[in-house]
Amino acid sequence: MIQLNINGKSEQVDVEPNTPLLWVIREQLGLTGTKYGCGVAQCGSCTVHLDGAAVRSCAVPVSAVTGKKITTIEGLAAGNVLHKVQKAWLDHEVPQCGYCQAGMIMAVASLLRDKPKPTDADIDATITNICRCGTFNQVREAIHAAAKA
Amino acid sequence: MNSDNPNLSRRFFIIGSAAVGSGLALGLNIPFGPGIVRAADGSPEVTAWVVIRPDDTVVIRIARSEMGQGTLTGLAQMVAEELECDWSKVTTEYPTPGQSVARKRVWGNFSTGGSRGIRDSHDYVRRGGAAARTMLIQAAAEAWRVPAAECSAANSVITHQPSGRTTTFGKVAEAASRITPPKDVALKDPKDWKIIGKPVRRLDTLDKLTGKQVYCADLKLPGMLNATIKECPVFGGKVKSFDAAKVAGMKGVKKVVQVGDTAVAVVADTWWQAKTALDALPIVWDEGENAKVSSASIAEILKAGLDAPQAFIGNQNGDAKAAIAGAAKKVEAVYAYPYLNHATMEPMNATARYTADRCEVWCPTQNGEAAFAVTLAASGLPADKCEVYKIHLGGGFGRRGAFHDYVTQAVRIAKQMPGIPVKLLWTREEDMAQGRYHPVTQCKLVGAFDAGNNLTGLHMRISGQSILAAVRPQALQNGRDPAQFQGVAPSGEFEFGYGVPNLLIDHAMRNPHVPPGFWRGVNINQNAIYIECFMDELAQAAGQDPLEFRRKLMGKHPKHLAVLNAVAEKAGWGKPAPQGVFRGLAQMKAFNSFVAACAEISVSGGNKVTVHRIVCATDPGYAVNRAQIERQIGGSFVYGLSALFEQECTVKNGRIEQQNFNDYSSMRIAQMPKVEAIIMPSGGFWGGVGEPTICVAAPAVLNAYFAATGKRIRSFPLKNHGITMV
Amino acid sequence: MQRGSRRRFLAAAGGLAAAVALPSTAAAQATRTPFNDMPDVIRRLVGSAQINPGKVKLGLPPLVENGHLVPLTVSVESPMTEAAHVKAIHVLTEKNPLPEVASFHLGARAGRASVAARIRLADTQTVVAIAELSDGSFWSDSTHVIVTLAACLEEL
Repeated sequence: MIQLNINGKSEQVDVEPNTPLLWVIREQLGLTGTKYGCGVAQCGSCTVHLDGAAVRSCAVPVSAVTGKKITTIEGLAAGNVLHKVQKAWLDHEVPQCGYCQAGMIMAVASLLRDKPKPTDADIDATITNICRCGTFNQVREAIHAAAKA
Repeated sequence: MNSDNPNLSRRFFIIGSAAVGSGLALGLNIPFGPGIVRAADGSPEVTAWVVIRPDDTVVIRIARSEMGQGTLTGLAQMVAEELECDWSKVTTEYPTPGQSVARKRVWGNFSTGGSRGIRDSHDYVRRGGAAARTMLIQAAAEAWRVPAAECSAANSVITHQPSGRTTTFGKVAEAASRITPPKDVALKDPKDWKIIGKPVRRLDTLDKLTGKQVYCADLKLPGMLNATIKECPVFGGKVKSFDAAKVAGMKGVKKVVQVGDTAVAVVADTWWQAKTALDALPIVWDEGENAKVSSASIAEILKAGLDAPQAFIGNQNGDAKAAIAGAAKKVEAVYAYPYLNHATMEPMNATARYTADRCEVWCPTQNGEAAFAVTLAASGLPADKCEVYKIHLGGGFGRRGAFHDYVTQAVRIAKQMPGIPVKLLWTREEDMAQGRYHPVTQCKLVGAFDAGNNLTGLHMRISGQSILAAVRPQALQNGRDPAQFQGVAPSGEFEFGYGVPNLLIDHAMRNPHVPPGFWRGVNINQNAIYIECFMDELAQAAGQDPLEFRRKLMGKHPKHLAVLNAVAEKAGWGKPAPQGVFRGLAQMKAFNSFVAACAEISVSGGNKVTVHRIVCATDPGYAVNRAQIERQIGGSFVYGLSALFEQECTVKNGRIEQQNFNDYSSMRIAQMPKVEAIIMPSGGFWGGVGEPTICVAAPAVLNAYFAATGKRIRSFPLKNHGITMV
Repeated sequence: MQRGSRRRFLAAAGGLAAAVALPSTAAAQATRTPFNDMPDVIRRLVGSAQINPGKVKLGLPPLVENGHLVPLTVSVESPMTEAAHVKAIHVLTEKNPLPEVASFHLGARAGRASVAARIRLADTQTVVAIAELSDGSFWSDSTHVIVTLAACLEEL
C-alpha cells in the first residue's frame, strides 16, 4: 500500500510502485482531469504539482512521490473560487478542445508561483506544453492577465 | 425502421410530414404515437431543436460535433437568434444517432468536417428556432385571446404590445408544443442579427478549466474494464499468432483477445495493467507484401508519375503544352509533400458494451451517425438495439469523421466479454502507427513566358495518392479524384484564383498502401504550397514583385484579390520592413471561403527562422462569431506550420516510423507568431472557417524565406534541411 | 428539379407513395448526386403494370458508414409452386449511376423466394425492391438508407 497526499487529502492506493503517477491519479484515485497525451513527458497534458512545482506525472513513478503534496487540476481552485489562472483562462476564452488545458493551466500556475510577472521569454522557456488546437496566443494573453490580477 | 408494422408507421410519418411540409427544413417531427415529445427530464420539445424548461432554460439540440472549433456555440447562436431567447439561459444537448434514425433524421446531418458545420446547417437550424418562436408566441396569444400578430418575443419574454402583458417561454412551452408547427417561417435579415455575428462567449469553456470536462478516455462506467490494442503495423498485414499465456498471469489481466484479423488486445482492470501486459505480449505478424515498401520506393513511383503520359485533368483551358513548347522562357520546379498524421491530443479510443440484446458505444466522433453505422455493422444488431453516445472530442481534425476503426475494435472486444463495458484506449504509439494519413504527393510545375515576360501558360502536374480512391471510390468521376484539385479547381468552393491563358492542372494517381485520410484542410495544404510558392518563382523569373505579378492574373477573381490586397495593405507590403524582416504572400479559395496571408519572418544563421507575425484575411461570407474565427485562424496556423517545419510520417518496412511526439513534434508557445486577423465577410454566401486558413501560412512563410535567403525549399518538413522554427 | 423527379417517381410507383420515406430537402440540396429518372427506370422493367405495396420485405440497414458493401436481403411471400411463384426480384436505387443494382431470376424451382447480396450505394437514398410474380403482378417494398461517408464529400 502506498500513502499519497493528494489535493489536501490522504489516500492509500494498492498499486505496483513503478506505476506512473499519472495512471494512479486517473485510475486508482479516479481523478481524470489530468490527461494522457503521450506517456513520454513530451506533451505536458499530464502536468500536476508536487509541492507546488510542475511535473509531468506520466514520467514519475508513484513510489517517488510519497511524502510530497500532490495537486491536480481538480485541486487548483479553492472550493468554488477559481485560481487566477483559471479565471484568466475563462476571461480570455483560451480552450478549444480543452484536452491539453488542464496540463497547460497547471504548468502556468507553477510558473506564476516562481515568477509572478513572467516575461515573454520566461513563458517561452518554461511553458513547453503541446496544444494541437493551437491556443498559444490566447494562452500568452491569459498568462499576462493573470500576472496582473 | 419499426419492424412490427412498417407500412403503418411510415404512413403515419408521411401524414405528419405532409401537414408540415418538408419536416427537416422546419426542424419538426411528429413522433410515432400521440402526445408531446419530451426530453429526458420531462420538459417539452417545442420543436426537435428546442426544449424549454419551466425555469426558462433553453436546451438547444446540436447534431454536429464540437471538437474545439466552436461550432457548438455557433449553432446555438443561430437557433437562439431566431428563437429570441435569453442567451444567458441557453444550454445545449447532443441528440443521439439512434434517436436520429428513429426520428427520420429530424436534426439532419451529423457529419462535422469539410468546414461545413455552420454553413450547411445555418438555414434549417435558424428555421427550427423561428418555428419554435412562432409557436411560443401563438401559445401566449391563444391564452390571452389576442391576435398573435400583436405579440412579439425578446429575451425569452413574450409581450402583447397593445396591453403590455408579458409571459415567459417557460410558462407557455407546454402549450406551444401542442401547436401544429407553421409551414413557412421568415428568417431575420442579417442586419438585424443580435446574437449571430457577435463574439459571444463559448458555452463549453468552464468545465475544461477544472478537470470536470469528460472525454471518452475519461469515461467511468460500473464494472468497466480497460483495454489497449496493437494492430499489425504493416498496413494490410495480419495476426499470425500470439502467446497469451505469457501475460495471462500478470496483475489485473482479464483476457487477451484477437480483434478481427489484424489486431490483438489485452483487457485488464486498469489501462496501465493492460498496456504493461500488451508490451510484454509476444505477437507474430504475417506482414505480407507491403513490408517491402519504403518512403524511397514510394517516392520513386511518384516521381515517375510527374512525367507520365496519362493523367486525370482537373482544370484546363487553352493549350498549356503548346504554350510551353513555344515559350520564350520557361520556369520549372518540382515539389514534394509528405505523409502527415493528425496527432489529436486525445488518442483514439471508444467504449463499448455488448449483449445479444443491446450494443452501446461511447466515443469521440465527428459524425455520430457514422459511428452508429459502424456499431450496427460490428455488433450485427439492428438499429433499435444499438446506441452511440457522443462524448466531447479531444481534437478531431478529420481523423474521427470518416474513420471509426476504434469503434469497430471496441465492439469486437466487447462482443468477447458480453455484458461488460470495455474502454479501449490506444497508446500514442498506436495512434502514430495506425493513422489515416494526409496523402503523399509530388508536383511538377512548368510556367511559360513570352518575350514580354507575360505568363502565357502553366502546367501543374500532381503525382500521388488519392484519398477518395481508398476511402470512397464511388465518388471518383470515371476514375478521377476531384478532391485532388482543391484550391486549383475550375469553379466552386475551391476555385483557382488566377486567370492563366493556357492552363493544365492534372493528376497522375499513384496509390501506395498507406491508408490515407482527411487531414485538416485536406489537399489545399500541399496545393497552396505548390501553386503559391511557384507563383513567387514565376514572379522572380519575370522580374516582378510577387504581389504585382499576382494582381495581373486576378482581374476576374475579385474576392480572391480582395483578401490578398487586405493582407498586403495591413502588413505594409511595398513599404520597407523593419531591419532583417522579410515578407511572403499567399492566397487561395477553400471550403468556399477566400483566404490570404502575409508572413513576416527573420532568419538567423541561414537556418533559424523566427516567424514574427502573420497577417491573415478571410472572407467567409458571414461571420457568426469573430472571436471563434480568430482562434480558428491562429489554431490552423499552429497545425499547418508544425507540419511545415517539423512533421512527416516516413515509411520503412511497410510501416510508419514515427512513434511519439519526440519524433513527430508539434509547435510550442515559444514558436508561435503574432496573428492579426482581418475578418471581412462580404455576404451572400456561406464559407467555412475551421480549415481554409491553414493553407496560406506555409507558402507565405516559404516565400518570405526566399526573400530572406534567396533559397527555395521545395520538400518538407523544413527540419530535413536543417531549418528550425525558433 | 430534384423534388419534381421524386414526385414523378412516387406517382409512377402508385401505392408506393405511402411506403417511401422522403429524404430531407436540406440533405438533398446538400448532396449533388442527381436523382435517377425512376419512373422511366420502373417503366422499362414493368411496363404499365400497377405495382402493389406488400408481400415483399426489403432488408437493408437504416444507415451505413460507407456505401461500399451494403448487406441486402429481399424475401417475398410466395408458395413458390409452379402455379404461384416469384419470377424475378429487381433492386433499384434512386441515386446510383446505374439505377438497377441487382436482379434475381427465380422460378418455382428456386424453392424459397429469398435472396441476399451486397450492393454498392453511391449516396444516401431510397432503395426499392420489386418482385415480379408468375401471375403477372408486381409487388414492392422500399427503404431509405443513410450513407454517412457521403457527408464528407458533398461538394465534390
